[in-house]
Amino acid sequence: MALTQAQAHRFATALTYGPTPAVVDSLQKQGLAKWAAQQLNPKYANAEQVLDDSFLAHQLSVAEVPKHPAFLATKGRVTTELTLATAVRQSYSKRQLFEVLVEHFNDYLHTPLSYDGRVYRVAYDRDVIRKHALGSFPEMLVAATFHPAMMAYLNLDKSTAEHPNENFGRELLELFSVTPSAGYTETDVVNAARLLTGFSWDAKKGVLKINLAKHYFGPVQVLGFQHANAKTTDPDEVLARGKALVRYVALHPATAKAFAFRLVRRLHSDSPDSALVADLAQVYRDTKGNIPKVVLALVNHPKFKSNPPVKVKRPAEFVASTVRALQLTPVKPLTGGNPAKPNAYFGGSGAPALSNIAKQQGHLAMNWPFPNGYPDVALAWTTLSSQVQRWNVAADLAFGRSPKTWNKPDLAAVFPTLNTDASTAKIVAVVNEQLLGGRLPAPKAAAIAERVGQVAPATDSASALKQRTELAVVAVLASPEWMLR
Amino acid sequence: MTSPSFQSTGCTDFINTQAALSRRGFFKGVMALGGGIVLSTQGVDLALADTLQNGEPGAASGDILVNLNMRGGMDGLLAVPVLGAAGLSSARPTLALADSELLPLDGFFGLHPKLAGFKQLFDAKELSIAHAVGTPFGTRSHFDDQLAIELSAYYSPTTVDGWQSRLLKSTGASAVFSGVGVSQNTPVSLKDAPGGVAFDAFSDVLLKDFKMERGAQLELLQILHNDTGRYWSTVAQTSLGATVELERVAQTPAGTYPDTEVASRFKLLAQLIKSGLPIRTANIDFDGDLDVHVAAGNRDGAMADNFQRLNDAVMAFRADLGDLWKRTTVTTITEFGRRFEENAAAGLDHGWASVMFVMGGSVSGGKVHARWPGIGAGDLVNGDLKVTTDYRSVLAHVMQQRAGVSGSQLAQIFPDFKPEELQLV
Repeated sequence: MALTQAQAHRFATALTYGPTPAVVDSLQKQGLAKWAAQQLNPKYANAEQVLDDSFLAHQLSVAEVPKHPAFLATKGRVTTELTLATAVRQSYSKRQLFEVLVEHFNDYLHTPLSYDGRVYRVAYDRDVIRKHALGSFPEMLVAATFHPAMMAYLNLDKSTAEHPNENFGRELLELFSVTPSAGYTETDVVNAARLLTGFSWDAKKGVLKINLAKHYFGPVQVLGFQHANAKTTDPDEVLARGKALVRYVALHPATAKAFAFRLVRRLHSDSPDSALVADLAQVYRDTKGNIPKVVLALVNHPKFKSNPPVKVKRPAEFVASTVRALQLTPVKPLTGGNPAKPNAYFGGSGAPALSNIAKQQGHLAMNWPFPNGYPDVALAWTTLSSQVQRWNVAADLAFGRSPKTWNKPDLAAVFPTLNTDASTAKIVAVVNEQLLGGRLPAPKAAAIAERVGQVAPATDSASALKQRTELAVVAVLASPEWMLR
Repeated sequence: MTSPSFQSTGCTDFINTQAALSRRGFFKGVMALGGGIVLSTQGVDLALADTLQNGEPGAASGDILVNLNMRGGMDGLLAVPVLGAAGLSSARPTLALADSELLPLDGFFGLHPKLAGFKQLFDAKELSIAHAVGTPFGTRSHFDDQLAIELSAYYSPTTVDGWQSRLLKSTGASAVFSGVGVSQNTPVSLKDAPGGVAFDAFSDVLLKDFKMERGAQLELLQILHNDTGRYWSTVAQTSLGATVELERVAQTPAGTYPDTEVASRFKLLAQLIKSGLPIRTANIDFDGDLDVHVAAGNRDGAMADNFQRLNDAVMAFRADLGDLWKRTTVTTITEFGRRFEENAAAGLDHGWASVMFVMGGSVSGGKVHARWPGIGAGDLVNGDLKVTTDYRSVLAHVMQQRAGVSGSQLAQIFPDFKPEELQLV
């Protein structure tokens, strides 16, 4: 069934960082199911060069990054690079749904930017999150568990038989898998921690290190998982036991439900419909946690298709959607900087223009200081400061008020159908159609047209058209409709 | 790791909740004109001034109650150690301090040396301490315990507002700025608060122009957010008036503070208080590394730095407020204390009971309240100091003594809870 422009626009709003005419067109031509399947095909746009080679850490292996001269003394460069690359991808990548999922799983299995393991954070994003985002969630969780970024963050690398550190074991159950609704006990937490003792990261070799002397041996039980965990001299066997535990909790029915709940909350509503969650949890169980299959089940679900946008955009989504809507580009190139000049590593990059806006609104990629990832409900992002800042950013970008940072939007190119003889009402209607799929209600559109008409002359000139378009765009970007996805 | 502002699961339908909310503060009446727009810059100012002058009928009088969240789980046994405790020294071979290093309090407890300003306040009877205090059910989870504290409604699973929000509601305070969160995000404790606002820098809350007359811009934003049942729009009604008012407030001179995050938050709060906004309660987050699983540090290091930062920020706030300190009470709260025994990494895992500091210019301080549970092997609960005083008893006591909150109002603020009678402030 062919999609209307409004339908395609609404799906693009929910499943990308912001509709563009190209995305809406592609959705209309292919239909939702095919479009989503294409977006979730690992081969789709795989070769796209969204990242310039100058994002250095992205080109290095997990073993190489810490040893590279560019990062030896300045580990923070790794995470700066990651936040910039992430912002660039969100705004400009063709693999929009993939990027949406990457952000979601970076929140789900979150490790923040400022801590000991940060030098591994680019590798974590690439080798754990991106590698498995179109694959299996249990395998993503296994990869996360034994990754140096996560091991350093939640102290798995400090956990020994004599003194098990419960930090990771607790979050494994509470945040990453079954959640407290599964009814696990303190003993389960301790046992999870025990089975995961003796692991650390060998930074010299860049490999996982298994120290049998620090591993707890003896029977453990975690929920329905039991292991005799008898003494062995085989490190691989100890690793296999740890992986078995992680896979067990990842495939637990309570994890299926929690996974479905979080996915629905990310892509659909702050208050996930329980029947929808149950349907997706079943798909998770049937497919052993196959992420694309659960996502496809969601987007093809009647309850998903019938809803208008209700989620408040988080700041990064507000930035990317605005950038995409106005086809904005930073003045400087979207490259990572010049590693040969460490003092000016990111000095030549325009990417901070993107990340700084989100940062100012408390949403720099992966910078949430706690292990549960950025909040994903309207309450968290609906504050005096977030509202005023979004109104200000809308005006700054549309008016081109930061000429050293942002190129002025070329509104004639963004709205090619507008001619100098267009009425103000027509201008508002076109902006409403293209930015919001026509969701701005008529009384609001009329109020915008009235005020734009009071300020700008309705003369038949290119400059007057630009002025009226600019004002209409600012007003639409300041509307509550623009804040929803 | 430390704790979040928001729980990762179990969110509520805020949109529906908000639909039931009446319009707030200075926009009352303005919007009743059948969609006709009569607002102008001047209109906003006048309406707000009117609200500020008249206050809110039935609003509690008394101190501004500042809630200082020690997020991450503050160790109470290092902040306020028990004296002469060999058990503490043997359980914490690298972390315990000698009695001689501590600042004297009441002969039973001592104070960490980095809290020298607090000692000064204690001696001046401007500070009291509650020890072995905490949540009724320790979960050792940052998220669960923090959320439980901010909601403070243990037997009301459908509760969606925070305890500071219910403080405002029960006392009838609804003027904009009644509840202030000095944070980028609204804290759960102020969730659904009438007149609640949250921000942590003036630059984030002053409106830029839309290349049209200011009144026209405000009118336009007003119309765009004239929705029913949409949370973003409901909050925007408040934000519009608040941003106009804050242009005035931002001119208030700021005091001198140390260069730390928590100090800059106190500095901002002091500006708001000094400019006469009708603040009843505020929420501030400490900024530090309290979640010391590794190398907790006692004389120097993480915890010593934390205490220094806490001490210096509060002392600067007190100095900055001048006479207004007499109308202000600051209470610290933390989601849990730390494990009694230190771990292999000279760190402290999650525990249960901790301490709360209550301080202000008009409190009757100089007391330490503790029904001491003991620290012998048989006294600990799963290796943790036992909670013998519910944190709600401390908050209730402060609200009664310092803000004139009545028993029936307390019953709304803390449902299904009978506070213990304390002699603290």
